Amino acid sequence: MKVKVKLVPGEKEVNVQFKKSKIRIMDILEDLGIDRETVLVLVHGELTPEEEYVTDGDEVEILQVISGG
Amino acid sequence: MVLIFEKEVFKSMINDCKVKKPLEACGVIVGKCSGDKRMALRIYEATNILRSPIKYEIDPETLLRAFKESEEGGLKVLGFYHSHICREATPSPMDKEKACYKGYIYVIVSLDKDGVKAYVWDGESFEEEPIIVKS
Repeated sequence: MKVKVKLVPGEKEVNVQFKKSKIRIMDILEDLGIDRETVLVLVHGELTPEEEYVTDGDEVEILQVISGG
Repeated sequence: MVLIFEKEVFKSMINDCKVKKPLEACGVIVGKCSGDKRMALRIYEATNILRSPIKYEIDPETLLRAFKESEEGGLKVLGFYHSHICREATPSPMDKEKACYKGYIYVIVSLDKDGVKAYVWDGESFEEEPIIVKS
C-alpha cells in the first residue's frame, strides 16, 4: 500500500509504502517517527483520529500543533 | 521584516487576551507578505485546549479553519499569538521547546508588563521583529 503524506509546516511531501494492506494513521506516524501528541492528521482535508485506517492512494496531511507557555 | 497590524485586528487580539484572563489566550494571525512587510489582516481567536494560565495549545478546529480559509481567500497564516499572564512578552522555555513553525511569527501579549512583542522562529531561536499598528 502507498500513501502520500504532506507535512505542515514545511510543505514537504513523502510517499510512504507499506507491505501490509491494512494500515492505520498511527502506523504512518510511527513509520515517520512522529510523536502523536504533537500533530493533527487530516485525510482528504478532514480531521481524522489516529485509530482510523487509510486506504491505498489516500492523501494524508500531518499538521504540527501550536503550543507553548 | 516588520509586522504591520490593522488597528482593529490588533485591538481584537488584545481584547481576546483580556477576556480570556486568567487563562492564556491564543490564536492564529492571517494576512499577506509584501516585500519586507507582513500585513496582519485577520486573527482567529482560538480555544486554549490546555485551559492553563501558564501554557497553551491552539484548538485543532480553529487551526485547520485558519489554514483552509486563508488559503481559499488568497491569504496565508503568518503566525500565532498567545498571552503571558503576569510575565514579560518574552519567549518562555516552553515557547522555545514547542516552537516548530519555522519562518512564522509568534506574537506574545503581556497585558501586565511590557505589552506586545513579535518574534520569528528560525528553527533554532526566536528573533524579535518590530510591530507597527496602523492608525
